[in-house]
Amino acid sequence: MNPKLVFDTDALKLRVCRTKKFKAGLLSVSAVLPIEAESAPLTSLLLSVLRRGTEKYPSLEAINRRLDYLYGTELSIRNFYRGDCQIIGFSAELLDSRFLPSDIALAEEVTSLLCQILYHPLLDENRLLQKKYVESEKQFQCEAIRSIKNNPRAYASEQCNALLYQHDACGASIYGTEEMIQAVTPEALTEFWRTLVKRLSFDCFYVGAAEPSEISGALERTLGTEAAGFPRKIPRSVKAVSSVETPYTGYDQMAVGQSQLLMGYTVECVIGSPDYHACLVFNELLGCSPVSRLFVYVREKLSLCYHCSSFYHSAKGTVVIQCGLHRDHRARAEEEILHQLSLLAGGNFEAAELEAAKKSLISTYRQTEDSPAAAEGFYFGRSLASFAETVEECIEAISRVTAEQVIAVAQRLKPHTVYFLEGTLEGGEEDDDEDN
Amino acid sequence: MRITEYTSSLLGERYTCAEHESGLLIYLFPKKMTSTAALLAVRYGSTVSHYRAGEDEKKLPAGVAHYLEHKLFENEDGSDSFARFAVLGADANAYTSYDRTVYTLNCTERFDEALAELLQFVTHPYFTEASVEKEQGIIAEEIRMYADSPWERSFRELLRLLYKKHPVRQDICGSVSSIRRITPTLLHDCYRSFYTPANMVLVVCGDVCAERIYEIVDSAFSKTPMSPAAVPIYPDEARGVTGKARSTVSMPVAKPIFSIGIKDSVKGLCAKERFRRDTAMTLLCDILFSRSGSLYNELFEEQMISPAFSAGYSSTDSFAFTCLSGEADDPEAVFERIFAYVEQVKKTGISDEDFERCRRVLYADELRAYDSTEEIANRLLSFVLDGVSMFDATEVLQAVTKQEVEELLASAYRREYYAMSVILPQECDEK
Repeated sequence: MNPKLVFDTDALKLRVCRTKKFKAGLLSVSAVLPIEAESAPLTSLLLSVLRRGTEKYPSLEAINRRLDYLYGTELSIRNFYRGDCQIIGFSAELLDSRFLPSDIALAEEVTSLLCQILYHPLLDENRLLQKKYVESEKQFQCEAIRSIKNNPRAYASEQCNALLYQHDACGASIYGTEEMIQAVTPEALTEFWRTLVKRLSFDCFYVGAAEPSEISGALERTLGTEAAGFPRKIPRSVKAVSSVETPYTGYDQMAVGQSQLLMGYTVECVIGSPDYHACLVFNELLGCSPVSRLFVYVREKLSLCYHCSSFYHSAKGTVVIQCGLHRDHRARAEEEILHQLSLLAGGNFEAAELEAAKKSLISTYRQTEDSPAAAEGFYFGRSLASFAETVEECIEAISRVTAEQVIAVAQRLKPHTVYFLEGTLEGGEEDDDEDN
Repeated sequence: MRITEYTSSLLGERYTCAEHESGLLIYLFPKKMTSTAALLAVRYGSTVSHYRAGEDEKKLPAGVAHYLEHKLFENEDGSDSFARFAVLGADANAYTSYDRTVYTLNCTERFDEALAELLQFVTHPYFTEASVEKEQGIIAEEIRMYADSPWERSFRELLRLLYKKHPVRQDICGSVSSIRRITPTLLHDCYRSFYTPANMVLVVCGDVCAERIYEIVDSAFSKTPMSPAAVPIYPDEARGVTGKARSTVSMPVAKPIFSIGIKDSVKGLCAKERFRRDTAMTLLCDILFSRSGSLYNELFEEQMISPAFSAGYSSTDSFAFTCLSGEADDPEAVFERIFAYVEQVKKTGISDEDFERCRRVLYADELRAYDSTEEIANRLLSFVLDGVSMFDATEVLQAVTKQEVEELLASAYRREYYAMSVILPQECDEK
């Protein structure tokens, strides 16, 4: 299911994985922007405002009703960081025409709506974005900034990332600060919108049963007539975090029952590096499966936690370990995590463990064929990193990884950040049926 | 074995059900995908807190079904089942819900061996004092993790308001104190009482050979004596909300979080009736509360609620409710608006446009659910446990009438069925 390039112009690029395997295909439309600390939060705000109403569908209700009419098509806003880039756009699950009871050109209708949202938002008599939409979305974005603490795991992860990526573009918050957002006026946001849409070009990806010409025609007749057509220059998303002499530490308290321990490392290996696949295998071996070192030793053998896992951020060359545990167990868990890292660096792991890690990864990559979203994620991620690799090539490369390569990766790990969110409550003690 | 086939020309899909001599039901859903998903489910979930086995009646502390699920992954030879699956490149896991415990398997190769391993470990329990005690630390952290989520907490508090007696009011994992009362003997008792083949269902979805699966089941189950499972005993639960209909808890949240529940009753309904009610209530919930509806949009435009708003209907054979969750500065005002809106729709009726639009969306959702082996297996399991055919869903959806939905609106949304739990930011705590 390798993608085929259907067209590549200044304004639009379309790749298609044609398959009749699915009842619903996936169309993603993405623009890639370099992360800038001031504009990233404005872009987030703008996307929410644009989604509120267009010339033709002037309210959120009208847009949502239109999507319902298009067989409940979910039009999801894409707004996330990948390495040092901000990806914006939309993705939609499109039901295949074989299963539609009525004769409707779903792809064209959806891309047409998308065009309305991006290029024809509802403006007031002064040609400005609607003040009521701007003000309410400002409020919601400020609430989103405050609400991050509602999820202690995500909050702790964000605090760790702020330290880990403090010298990198992706260290800037995608939502910004409340002060920054409150200062935005409809005039400023409208100006920002006009400037932004002028320079957008789109990377589109479709996985599904439709004829590629149907999708390309739909895109050309809609987005193709609006997009600027500047030569597409994808900003650099991949840049390894530099190691530090003295690791950073962070600490907070929160009135919750479970504490969060995060340990961030630099590994000097990014997607596309010669040892990239060895790094994937190392991370799997360390903390990505129920037979990984962190799961087996920190959770199962020592019973210190429910979750303890590692995450390899391939665009930034970092590995972050996260563990949710009782505050009294911090020292013991930290000691065991360090011990396991040193064992891996010393080559103290079994051949069977290495094979299990490789098999687990290979199985995961094989399954990209079973999911339009996974296939899109795989190929879009690689195109961002300018790393041409098919799923088959990735699987082949993983199967060739040796123990020596994994040891070499483990030896390159350097501590960068340790963050601890201390939960000050005992937690989980309530039981209202003690008589049972 | 008696094999029944179910087909859907609309979807272009089919599946079979075979009844194994042990009593185990085997459902096979052929699907040309790279991955194969298998589920071995036991009709035993967290709401079994009181049961009858033969002449005996027994009561359980909260969290036993979930604890048992964790412990089944250990084997008598000291090995961990996860390690055995890793050799095969298979991914195994498990979950416990209110009405079931499910062991899951997902793989892209060597499925037969992995399935044999799954059936082996679930049918061979092995617990010791030390291993059971060791699990307490892990499960206690799982409990704390959920307890720290304000959305989970809000939902749990709502269930405690809606249900005064039914064990759905207890957390699936139990509490840190209830799990201290779980012993190897208790786990063995529950295993013997509920893990009988006749109380289990195997569902497989993927590109597999039926005969080979039946052989694997034969070797795992053929010698297992058929015995009836224990019978859960559920307390009589009042139709309406008795006692207080509001609760507030304070947590470190930025803005109040609310969960509004509307208690439903499925008492006395057969499987088909309950499924039809489930479909009609789901449709009604969408008509009233979806993001395309006027209520949501009015509340949103007025900034009374945040974008994080959800609504859904859930039912099992012993409880059912509609739940609306969101964030609001003034949850009580949101509650009153929702109540008033529902009362207004009772008077004005549901428009044909709203009815057909929501039905169209549910129809499309139904179709989209057939693109993943894992999702198909889980959905098929739910239909099996509900006692209906998976392909009935689209037919029942087409058969439900607007009049039927309006009658449900009149009877199932009465003031005495409502309750609301609120999580307040700590500084606003109403002591």
